[in-house]
Amino acid sequence: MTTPSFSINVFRLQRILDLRSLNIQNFHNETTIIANSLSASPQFTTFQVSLNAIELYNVRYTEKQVRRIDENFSEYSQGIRLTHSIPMLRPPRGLRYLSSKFFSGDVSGQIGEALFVYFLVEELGVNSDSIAHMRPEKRRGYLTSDFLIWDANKRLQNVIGEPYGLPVYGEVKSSTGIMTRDKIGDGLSQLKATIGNAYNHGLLALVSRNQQRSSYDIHFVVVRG
Amino acid sequence: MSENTSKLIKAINIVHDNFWMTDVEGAYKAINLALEDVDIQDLISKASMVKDIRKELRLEAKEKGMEKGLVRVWESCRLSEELEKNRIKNTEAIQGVLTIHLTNLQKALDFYRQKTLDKFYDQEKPAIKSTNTYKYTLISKTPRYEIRAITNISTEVPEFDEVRESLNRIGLDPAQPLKTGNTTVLRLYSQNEYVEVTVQPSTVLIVINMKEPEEGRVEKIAKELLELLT
Repeated sequence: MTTPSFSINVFRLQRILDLRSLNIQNFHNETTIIANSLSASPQFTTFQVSLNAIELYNVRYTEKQVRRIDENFSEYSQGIRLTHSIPMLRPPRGLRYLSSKFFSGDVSGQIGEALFVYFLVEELGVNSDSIAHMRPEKRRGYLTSDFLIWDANKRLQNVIGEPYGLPVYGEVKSSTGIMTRDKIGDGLSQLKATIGNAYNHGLLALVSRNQQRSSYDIHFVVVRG
Repeated sequence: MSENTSKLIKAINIVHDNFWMTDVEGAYKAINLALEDVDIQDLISKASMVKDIRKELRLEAKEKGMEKGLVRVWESCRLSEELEKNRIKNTEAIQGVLTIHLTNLQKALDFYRQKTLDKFYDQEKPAIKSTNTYKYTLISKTPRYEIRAITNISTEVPEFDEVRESLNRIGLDPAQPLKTGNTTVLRLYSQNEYVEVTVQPSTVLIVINMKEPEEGRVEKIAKELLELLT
């Protein structure tokens, strides 16, 4: 029996963004530069995803309780709508069942977060117990990024590319379409608020479908406080 | 300070793992242990103060009629000034948020402890079985069975010959393991079963699909695998 595998391309913006210099005057300019340079970023690495593992990371680290992203992984990236049995009850006003949508931010967000952890643990060797998923508290208005990473063994060195302190802050933005300047801006602002004036680093992971719609690409933007 | 952050992050993962395998008491114990040496009130009050400051800043931005796309970056610039003024370090606020997260998990677990989680996937709550090296629950969704295990020692997948010899004894034929960085997947076959085992350093997920369901056989496979891996 052959196991389906999906190839993920990882890119990293060469420049490390200094958050201290990010302000309302240069904000639009910076986010536009990043958005425009995504397609030209050098490839950092490529890896194959084990769907068994990604489902475990989905269950352990993502918030929205959508299970079996291992089964959704390929269909979702291709934009195929599977036939589901739809509940007899009408959904609440203004909402649609996930089964009647081609794409949902909930599912793509979850795939993005699971992929982020997958890459850190499976490919870079970060200890899985040293990553905390904090998005629930972020949504409650507390100051935190999506992920806090206590990378005591310095496994992120190659991605960050310069000495760094702990914790490292992780922010993940996902999209099944084009990664917008607004999403990039939201991620940078969140990292700037969380890191503040501390000498810490952050990783903004921009996860989007690849051009062939067959899998996903991750673009990393490294920031320093 | 740093030790605490690391400890709190680890505790969150232990709680999730225990809850995953339906061990509510195990999860509860992990929270209490993590919060033992932490000045909970001080950290929570710092995190809450920061939350309030952010709320005020958002109101201020609204009153100023600031462009929507610039509100967040403006708020993050102003927040740094406010935190400095109030002598709050970001790292303290983050520790406070970790503490709040654990206390929120504690509240959620309280709910299950009071209500007693007596149903799970429309089944009776699965019993937790344990040995010195692992604990597991069997979730029955006949003809599919799921065994969720947490190990006290780091799992290790032996050489393939040993795996084959051990599993052949119970009538299972393994395919070559698939190994990625942190995870090994084993696929086992027999006339009656297809078994998929996902092994990570402290957790094992065993999914057994049977043509002719037999719970005694499921237990036997689970134990054999867990003994082999720990």
